[in-house]
Parts: sequence; structure tokens; C-alpha cells
Amino acid sequence: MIIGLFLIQICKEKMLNAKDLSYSYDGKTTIGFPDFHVDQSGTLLVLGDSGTGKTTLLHLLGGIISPQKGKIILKGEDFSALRESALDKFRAEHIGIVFQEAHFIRSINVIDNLRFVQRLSGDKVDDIFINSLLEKVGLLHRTKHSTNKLSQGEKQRLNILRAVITKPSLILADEPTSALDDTNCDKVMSLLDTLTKEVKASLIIVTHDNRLKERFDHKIELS
Amino acid sequence: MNLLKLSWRNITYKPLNMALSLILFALGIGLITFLLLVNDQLKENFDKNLAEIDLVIGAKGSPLQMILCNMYHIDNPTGNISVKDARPFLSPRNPLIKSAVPLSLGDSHKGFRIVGTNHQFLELYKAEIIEGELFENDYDVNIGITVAKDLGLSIGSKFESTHGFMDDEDMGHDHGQAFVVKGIFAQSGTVVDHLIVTNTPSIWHVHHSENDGGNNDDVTSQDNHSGHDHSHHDHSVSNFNLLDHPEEEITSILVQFKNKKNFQALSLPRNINKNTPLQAATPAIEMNRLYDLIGVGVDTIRQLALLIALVSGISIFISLYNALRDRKYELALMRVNGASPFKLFALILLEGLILAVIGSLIGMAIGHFALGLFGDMASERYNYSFTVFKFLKAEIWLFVASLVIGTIAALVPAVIAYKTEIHKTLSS
Repeated sequence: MIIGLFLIQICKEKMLNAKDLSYSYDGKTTIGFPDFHVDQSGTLLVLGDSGTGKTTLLHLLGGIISPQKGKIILKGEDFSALRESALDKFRAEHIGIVFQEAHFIRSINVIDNLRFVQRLSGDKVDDIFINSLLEKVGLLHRTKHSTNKLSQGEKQRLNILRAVITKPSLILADEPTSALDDTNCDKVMSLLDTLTKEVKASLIIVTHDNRLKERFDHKIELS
Repeated sequence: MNLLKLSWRNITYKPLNMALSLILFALGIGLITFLLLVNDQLKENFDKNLAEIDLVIGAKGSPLQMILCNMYHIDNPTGNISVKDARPFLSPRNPLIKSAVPLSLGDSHKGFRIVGTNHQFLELYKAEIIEGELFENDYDVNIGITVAKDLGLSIGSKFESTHGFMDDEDMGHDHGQAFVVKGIFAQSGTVVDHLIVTNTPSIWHVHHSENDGGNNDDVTSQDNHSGHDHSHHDHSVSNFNLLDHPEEEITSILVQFKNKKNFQALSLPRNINKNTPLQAATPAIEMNRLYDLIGVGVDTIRQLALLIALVSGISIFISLYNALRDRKYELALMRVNGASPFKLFALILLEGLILAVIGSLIGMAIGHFALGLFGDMASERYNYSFTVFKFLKAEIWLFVASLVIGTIAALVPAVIAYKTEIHKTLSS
């Protein structure tokens, strides 16, 4: 009991702390993950080939699935133990996810997609903040456009923007550069870096793209 | 951007799908609305025109035809009856009868029927003069408000009648004397609005003159009765007594009993039918028979409309279900961004409800519009006025029912949305 409290106290000093994590899809095959932590505004690169559990880890860290074993403590709270409704709220407030494929709500335009995410997180819609970020990523002229009309590059920028629009504590990015050439890879990483710093969030990138190795001091490899 | 707005945007995102669902839904609701309105207003019109008439006595034939002709003025007479045969029922001394109003039909002017009768006829329908005066002498007429408007007739206007009820110039009477408009009735919502009313002798004059080749001087040879002839003097309404003309004919008598529950009064129709050359029919019984006849058709159309509404409900279901498959990833993203399962459920349910609300409102508008078109036709053909702007309580229930259909149609897709598995969807 005392040791447990001590561990939690230590974890509180970190932005994110993952310990003894494992997940089983069918109750037979269990994927285990190494312990790791990320500091406030820190970064972490999770590298791994296909089938090593990268996406599973991302979904665990994003509160999309809950681990059968272990803890994920974000800002002092073990959210892996939260019930569904509390987890929905926690995820919306504290975690932003950049998905590998840029999907949006197609029936609404660029700015409404961002407004809707802000609203879902429980925040008030902040058009000034939204517009400032849109300007920063060069999409201000696209605010009223349908997301279907955006180019791939614009979609990717909006994808990243959506993840930071709620000013989360943790941003997770799933293979953000895998399908890009070197120039665009640099651009996307630079944008992720800028926007993450803008909202003072920690960043975890899950990828098999080895080009990113040199950019990160703090990394773990899944095998 | 709240859920309601998002639902609306989702619906309008694929307008063709939405239009198909809406058209089907609106058609179903429109047809039901139309039937409700027609049924209600037809019944109201029929009831209004019953005018507390207990019995119609006329020539033998179809009793329903006799009622439709003499009370609703939408069918041809079964024939004429002689005043002599009708005398016992026209007599003011008949202990069972409160009022007996004679009708003489058979002529018209530009499609509007001319009724030869007396002032009691107007009391039956509570018809009031708003302009001019009541008809008094031969060839004086009072006209219904619709007649005045449609034919542009005013006080002092003159016209000649046509034999029969069709607007056919070849059937015009050539009696040399025109009817003169003396008064116009206020709108009553009854058949009177569509009638031209005159005294009984005027109708006799027209036909006798016709028989005499239009020469009024020769009327006496055929029209000499009870020691006098019609051509030499007017029969002012106040002086005229129908019973003084037993050899003449009328079309029917509209009877009100003194006591509707009197046993003798109740058995009077049977006695007339059995023991006289006349036919008696009770309007309430004949109209109920008509409702039953019409009811079969109405029920069939109503069932058809319900079937259309059901199919449109299924179309909403298919439309939402397909959209759901298409938007699986979007819904998962919404869940990731904090939308609860209930929010997704509500989103889809709202889409079904919005479709149902719009569909039913359009449908009701279609129903009222269709009544307007039908009303124009019915007004010309059946002497009935229909109002487009009358709304029924039943329409509120229809609206509620359409919301229920929309909700049921959206329920399965909404439950599927509720159960969206974020991890599986995003991984796939």
C-alpha cells in the first residue's frame, strides 16, 4: 500500500508514465510493452515493425482500449482504470490523436470540424485560437471549404491541427510520416513540433519510419 | 456546431438520398392528410346540408338518388310527383308534419341549379339575404353567393334558364321572359351558396311556355287550373297556395316532423312507400348508406397511404443505415474526440426525426394543396366548398405518428452507432 502510494507520487512528477502494460486481443496472445515515461512537454518515439503492437500501444495510450494489466498514468491519473464515460471525458480533455489517415466529418467544413472537436471536449468554441492556428498552418483561406476539397498535404495539416485544437496534455501521432517523401516528412515533423510546443503538450510518435530516429533523444523500440 | 446542426448537415450532405426519403414520406403523409381533410369536410358539408330534414318525399326510384338530388343537388331527380298525390303531406293540417317544403327542379343557369320553392326553404338552411330582397313574384330569383361571384350577377341582372343541369346552350328555354335577380344570399357554407332560388310557379311557367312553343298567350289552354291561368297574373309568394294547383307537378317535398320520435312519424316513410305512388326516404339512413359505400374506397386508399408511409419509413431506415456504413470512421473519430455513445445514438435519431418532421410538414402541405385542387373541381361538380386552411386535430396525431415512424426507422442505425467500437473501426 505504502509502496503503491510512493509509486503514484513519483508518477505525478511525470506527464505520462506507463508501467507493466499488456494487452490481449483473444485472451490467448498477449502483447507486452516496456515501461516508459514522458516528461512535461517531452517527446517519445515508439519504433516498431508491423505486428509489434504499435497501434495497440497508441490505442492504449489514447484511452481507446484499456489494458488487461498495467497502468497508464497521465497528469497523475491512472486513466486506464476509468469507466467508459469518464474515460471519454478524460480523453477529450487531455489527449489529442493524429491518425495515420486524415479522416474528417465530411458534411461540415474545415472550421466546423475544429469547432466541433472543441465543443466535444467540453471547451467553449474559441474562433480566435482556431483561426490563429489555421493561419499558422496555411489553411486560413480554406476555413469554409469542405474537407473533401483539400489536398493531401492540407488534409494532413488539418489532421495535426485537430489533435492540438483542444490544447491537450498529450499528443499521439500514428505513422505521421510513413507515406511522405523526405521534404514533406520534414515539413510534417516541423509542424508537429511547432504545434505541440504551441499548446505545451507532450508528444509520442508511433511509427516504423526509421528516418525519425535521429530527431528524438527519447525512444523505445517494440519487437 | 451542435448535434442538431450536425444532423442537418449530415442529411443534406447527400441531397439525393434525402430527397428520395422525403418524397416517399411526404407522399404517404400527404395522401393521409388529404383523406382526413376530405372526409372531415365532406361529412361537415353533408351534415350542414341535412338542415334537420327528417324525410324527403318524391317520385319512386333510387332513394339515395332522391336524397342526393333534393338535398345535396348533386344528382338528377327520380321524377316528378303531382301536387294531388303530395297534398296530404303539404297540408298544414297534417298532425305529424311541422314543415313541408316543396321543391321543383330540372332547370339551371350556366351549371347552377334553379330551385322552385317557397320562403320556408330558406328557413331550413337559415339562408339570409345580404343584398336586395327576398323573391316575391314570378321570375324573381335569389342567388347564392357563389353563383353571384362566379357568374358576375348582381341585383337586377337578368338571365334565361336552361333545361337540365348542364351548361348547354342548345337546351335553353325559350319562354320569352327572363329571371331577374332580386336578392343575394349571405355565404352559409350550405348548398344554398350554389343555388338559384325562385318561386314554384316560375318553374311551371318556364315549362308550360316551353310546351306552348314560347307563346305566353296560349298558356291558358294548358295551364288553366282552378279557374285561372298563370300567364295573366303573378303568383306572389305570399298569396300563392300550392294546394290550389292539384294538377301541377313538383319534384319533392322536404319534411320536418313535429316530433321526431313519434311512432307514426317513424313509420310514415314505410307507409308512403307501401301505400302511395310516392317514395319517402330518410336522409340520415341514406347518407349512412352512402358513407358505408364511400367508406370502403376511403379505407382502401387509407391503407394504401399507410403502406406508403411504412415504405417511406423503411426508406429512411435504409438511407440512414447506408449512411452509417459510410460514416463509420467519422463516428469512431467523434468517439475519440469525446462524444459519448449516447451522443452518437442521439445524432442518428435526430437525423431520422428531422427527415420525419420535414417529410410530414411537406406531406401536410401537399394534402392541403391537393384539397384546394380537389375543392375547385368539387365546387363545380358537386356544389361543395372545401377550405384549404382548416386544420384538424387528427393532423397533430398524424404528425406525432410520423415522428414515431421516423424514430423507429432511425432506431436500429442509432443503436449501431451507439455500439461503435472505436478500436476496431480505427484499426480497420
